[in-house]
Amino acid sequence: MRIVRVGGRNVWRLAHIERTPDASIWAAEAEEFLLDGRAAFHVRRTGTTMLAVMDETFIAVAILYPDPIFQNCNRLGSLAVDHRKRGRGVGRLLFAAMLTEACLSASYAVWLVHPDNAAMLHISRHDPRVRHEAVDESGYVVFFADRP
Amino acid sequence: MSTAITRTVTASELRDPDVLAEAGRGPIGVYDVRRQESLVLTSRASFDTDQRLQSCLGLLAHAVVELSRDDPSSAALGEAGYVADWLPADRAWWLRNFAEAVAAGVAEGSTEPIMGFIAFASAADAAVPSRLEAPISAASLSPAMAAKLKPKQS
Repeated sequence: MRIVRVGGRNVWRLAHIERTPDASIWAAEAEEFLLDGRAAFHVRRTGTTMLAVMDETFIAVAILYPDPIFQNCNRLGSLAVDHRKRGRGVGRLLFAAMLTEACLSASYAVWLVHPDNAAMLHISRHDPRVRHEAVDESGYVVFFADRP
Repeated sequence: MSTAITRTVTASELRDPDVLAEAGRGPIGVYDVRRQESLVLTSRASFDTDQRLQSCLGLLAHAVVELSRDDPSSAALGEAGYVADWLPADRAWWLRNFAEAVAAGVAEGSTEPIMGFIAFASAADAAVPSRLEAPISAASLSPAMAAKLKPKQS
């Protein structure tokens, strides 16, 4: 497995990531955004990045963009792992790469995790770069990290 | 977008099932002794793919010309006509990435990278989930984080 940047040459491989059957509303929202192409709205913005985990083809994807509110801060927007490939550390690998990328181009990173997303909560809480965790007014758990 | 010719056979060898099977995997050259001319035998699927790739190359050529105009025509861009309404900077982004997709398609011998990119980018104007743009409430910030994170200038 390796991390690759998503661009014109390989974006077609997003169609190979299979959506989670019977996904919860919040998980389906993230998958639809990344896999249906709406992420292109963000991709075509300056400073937005999509990274994917490449095995034989894409098995996970995530998006990173400048936070709409805070200066010098990147937002980790969404992360989706093919449901057939979970439990192998794919999400952790991609999350670590995204956070590294986020802290290269800004001093801070922020992301929101649904309270039922046990895997992302676990990964977030065990990353040494996390400096703060709180519950947002929306009910999502918000994490902040800064450049190590 | 032909693949390299793997071997050359004579017309009489075309009755050989092994030769036909090989032609199904990739183009082979056939030399007709009587007419003293060469033909290329290829599978229908390979031929169709080549035709579609040529169409994609044609679309790239059209796009380079059309998107350099101040007022590009969506009709001239075919299934990529949605780009005509985009801002110039976004059109430039599309063209650069489309060229990469075409190069990938040629390398893969498939139109999937090209059609996949056109479909992906066509959704760019669709609504983004509001949560992704939602501001994080100030109450979520610890005093230490609040001291570090500054709101953008409006």
